Amino acid sequence: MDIFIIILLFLLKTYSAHGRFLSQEKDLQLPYAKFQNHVNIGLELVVTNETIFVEKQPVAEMHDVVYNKPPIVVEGIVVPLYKVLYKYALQAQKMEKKYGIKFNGSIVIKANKNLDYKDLVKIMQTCGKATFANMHLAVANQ
Amino acid sequence: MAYKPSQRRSIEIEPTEPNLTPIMNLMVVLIPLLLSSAEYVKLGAIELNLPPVAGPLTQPAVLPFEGMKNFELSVFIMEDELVVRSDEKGVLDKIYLNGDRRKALKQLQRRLYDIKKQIPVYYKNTNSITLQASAGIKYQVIIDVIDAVRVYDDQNTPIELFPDVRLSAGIL
Repeated sequence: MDIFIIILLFLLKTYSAHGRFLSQEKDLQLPYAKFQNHVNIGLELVVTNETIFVEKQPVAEMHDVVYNKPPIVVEGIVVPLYKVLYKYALQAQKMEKKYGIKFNGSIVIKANKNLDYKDLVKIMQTCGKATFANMHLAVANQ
Repeated sequence: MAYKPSQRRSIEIEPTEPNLTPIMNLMVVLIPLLLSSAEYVKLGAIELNLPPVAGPLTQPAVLPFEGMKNFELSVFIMEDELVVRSDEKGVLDKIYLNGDRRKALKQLQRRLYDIKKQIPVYYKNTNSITLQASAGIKYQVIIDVIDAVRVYDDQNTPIELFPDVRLSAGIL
């Protein structure tokens, strides 16, 4: 009986987490790839049809990015995204100095498969500028 | 005169176990239901490099001799065609995307396989390739091309082509 309760709670938790993921899945459908490596640990950047998230916090609207809205996109750089990433980079560099945890500029980009190349380039340029040059594109197994 | 002991005291209350059968039945129904409704996607990642930045030279340029040179190959992804180009020989091939993308990617892989076989031995790095695309090319197409240029899956025997993929910031 106890084991049943544990399994049920575990499944309910998974189910609720999956439910949140499903609600995002309308906007976030990862591209499929045949050959891939394991997902590395790094900062998580999610690009849905509507919003850009960094570590699950919304930072910019895709509408502004797509149409290069001036305060948001300047010279191909997504300014709010850059500010947030730069903050994370500074924190990581401080951690490196204080505790010796090496900052390798690793970032995992989870982007919608329908994203246009020009918008992907803006996001990648922003990551590179904020010293997150070690990029990994998250893909789903084919 | 002693009182007669109460009869109620001598009645022992037997512990009763709760009937768990309905709860167990509910669990048996709920667990397969939750398992069947969950969808799992196995996540992977593709490592990506940015092309080296071309900036003004701070030191006098040194002409590269043959042993120092990297083999520079590019694939341009456009709406209707894929163009394979090397820095040395210019455009090597054009593959038209006439609807069937999978067929075109197979053709690209075969071409890259031939190019890889013919690379002269004096090149230092023969594993890198740069991709560049038109503005409206979808991310899935980019990933498909990255997949194609990294490994050639010839009759279930994967052959490494150009695993070091760089995505150019330039837009065609």
